[in-house]
Amino acid sequence: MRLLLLEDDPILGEGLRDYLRADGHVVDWVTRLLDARVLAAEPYDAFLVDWQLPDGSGLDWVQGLRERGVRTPTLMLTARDLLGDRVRGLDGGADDYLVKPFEPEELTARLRAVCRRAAGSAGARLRIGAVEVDRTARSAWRDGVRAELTAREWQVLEALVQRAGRIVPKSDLEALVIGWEGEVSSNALEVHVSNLRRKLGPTLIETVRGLGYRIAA
Amino acid sequence: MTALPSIRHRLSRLLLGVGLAWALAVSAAVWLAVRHGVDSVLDGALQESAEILYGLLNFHTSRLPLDGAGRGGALPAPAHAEHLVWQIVGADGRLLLRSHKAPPAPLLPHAAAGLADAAGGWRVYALPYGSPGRMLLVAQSGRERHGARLDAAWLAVLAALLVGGPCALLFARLVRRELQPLQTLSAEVAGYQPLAADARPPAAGRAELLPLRDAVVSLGERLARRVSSERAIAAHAAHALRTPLAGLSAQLAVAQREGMPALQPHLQRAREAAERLRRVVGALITLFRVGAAPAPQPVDLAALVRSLPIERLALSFAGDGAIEADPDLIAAALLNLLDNSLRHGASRVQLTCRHEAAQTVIGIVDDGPGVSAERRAALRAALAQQAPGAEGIGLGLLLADQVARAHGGELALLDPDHGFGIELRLRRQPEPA
Repeated sequence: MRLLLLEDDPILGEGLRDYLRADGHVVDWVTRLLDARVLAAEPYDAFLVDWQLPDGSGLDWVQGLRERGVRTPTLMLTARDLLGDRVRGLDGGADDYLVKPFEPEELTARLRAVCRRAAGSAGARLRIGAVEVDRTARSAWRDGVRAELTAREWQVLEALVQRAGRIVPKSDLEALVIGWEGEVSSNALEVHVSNLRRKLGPTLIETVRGLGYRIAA
Repeated sequence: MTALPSIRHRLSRLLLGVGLAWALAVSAAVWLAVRHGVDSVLDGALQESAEILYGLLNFHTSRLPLDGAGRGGALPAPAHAEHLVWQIVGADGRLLLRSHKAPPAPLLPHAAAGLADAAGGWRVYALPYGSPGRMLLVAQSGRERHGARLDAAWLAVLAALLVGGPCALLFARLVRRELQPLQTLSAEVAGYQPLAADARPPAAGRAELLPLRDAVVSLGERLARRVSSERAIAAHAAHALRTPLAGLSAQLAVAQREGMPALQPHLQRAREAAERLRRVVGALITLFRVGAAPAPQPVDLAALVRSLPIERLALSFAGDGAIEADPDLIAAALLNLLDNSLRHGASRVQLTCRHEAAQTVIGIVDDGPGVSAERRAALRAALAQQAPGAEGIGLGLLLADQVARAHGGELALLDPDHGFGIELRLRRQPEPA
C-alpha cells in the first residue's frame, strides 16, 4: 500500500517509515502539513496523521479533506488519549485512532483493517475467481497453489485489489507502487502486471486500453 | 495524644464557679438581711406582746398571787405550746409569778427596761410593773427565734435554687449554642475540597471565626495551586514521553526485523522494556488524571477485560459485568494490576464482579506465588495510611487504589489460598429514580 505518513517527530517518523517499508508498503513521510497538502493530490491507500504538527492541526487537515470528498482511509496517531479527544478525532473524519505510544504491529493491523473496510471487505481474505488473496499474510493463491510474488508484484496486486471493480490509471498505479521518492522506469509497471498474469492467471488483471488496469470486484 | 482542654467545658466550669460564688455571696447577704429582719420583727412582736400582757396583768394586779403562798408559782393554764413566756420579778430579784412554761428562776434578776439577752439563749423584753423595782419580763426562747430564722433562710435558699437551676441549664445551652458555629466550621473545613472544580469555601458563621476561616481558605488555595502546578508539570512531562516512546518502539521493531540473529534476544528484551516503560508512563498519566473527577458511564466489564492489551496471561471473567464507572480509569487500574500479576510470575488470572448493597466489587485473583502474611499486612497498612512512599506499594497498586478512591471506594487485599488476590471496590451509583 502507498501510505502518507504525517509525523513531525524524527525518531517516530523514521522508525515508522522504515518499519512500514520493511512490511512491504510504499511510505511517503513528511513532517509538515504544508508538504502533506501538496502530496495529498497523489493517490494513496491511507493517511497516517499526527494530530499536533508544527504548522497546524492534523485533525483540521483531515476534516478539510473529508469536506472536499477525499475518502482515503485515515488513521490518527496522537498522544491525546482522553475519551473526548478520541471521539473528536473519529467524528472529525479519522477512520481509526491510535494513542501513542503504540507498537508498530498494532499500527499495521489497524491499517489493514481500515483499508479492508474502505475496500468493502470485512475479512483479510478475499476471492476473485480462481485467485485467493490474503492481505494479512501478503500472499496469493491460484487454484489453491500459492504464488511466489515479489514485493513490487504484491504492491501492484494489493493496489488493484484495494480498488477492485474500479479502473486504476497507470500513473496512479505507478505512484501507488513506486512512491513519491522512487525512480520510475518506463515499462516497470507493465513487467509487474505481466508477471502477475503469468503467476495468477491471464484474466485476473484487465487492461482498459488508454485508461489503466482493473481487477473485477 | 494528650486531651486538649475543651472551651465548652472550661466555659461551663467558669460559669458554674461564678454562679456558685455568686449564689454563696447572695445567700450570705440574704441570710444576714433575713436574720436582721426576723430579729427586728420578733423583737417588735416581743415588745408588743409584753405591752399587751402588761395591760392585761395590770388590770388584774390585785388578784394576782404575787405574795403569800402563790409566790414564785405559775398561773394555771391548759396544756399548750407557748411561744412566749413571762415572769414578774420583784425588786429583790426573786421570781414573783410566771407563765406555766417560763423557767422557775428569773431570767434576769435585775433587768433594766427594754430588750436584753439572757442566759440560755432567751430574748427578754423588760418593763417596770407596779411597785418600784418590780419588772415584767416577756421572753422568747433562742430555739424559737433560731427556727424562725432558719425557716426564712431555707425559703431563701429554695428560691435561689429554683432560679439558679434553670439559669445553670440555660447557661449551658447558651454556651453550647455559641460554640455551635465552631463545630459547623470544623465540619465545613473537613468537607472543603480546594482542588475540586466547584470548591465551596467554608462559611464562618461568627465574626470571631472569620480569621480562622480565611486562614483555612488561604491555605487550601495555596495547596491547590501547588498541587495543580505539580500535577500539570508531571502530566505534561509524562505526556511528552508518549511520542519518543512510540518512536523507540518503532525503531526497535525495525531493528528486530533487520538485526542479526545474535542480536534478537537483546532486541526482544529491549522491546519488552519499552513495553513496560509504555505501561508505566500510561499509568503515571492516568494517576495524574485521577485527581480530576472521574466520568462514570455504563461499562461492560467483560468486554473491557477482553479488550485489555495483556498478552501471556490467560484471563477469565465471571459475574455480572454491567457496572457504572469511568472506563479509562478502570481499564488503567486493571491493566496495572494484571501487569503486576504477570511480572510476579502468574499465568492465569480470574476476574470476578459482584454487586453489593453499596459497592461494586471487582475481584482479581492470580495463580502466582502470592505474598507472605507479613508482606500482605504491610501492604494493607500502607494502603490504609495512603502512604505512596511505603515499601512494596508499587505504581500499579497505588494507581488502582487511587482509581478506587476516585470512585468512592477502596482497594482491598484478599487472602486467597493460592496466588495474589485483590478487590477493587467501587461505590455503586444510585439507581435512577
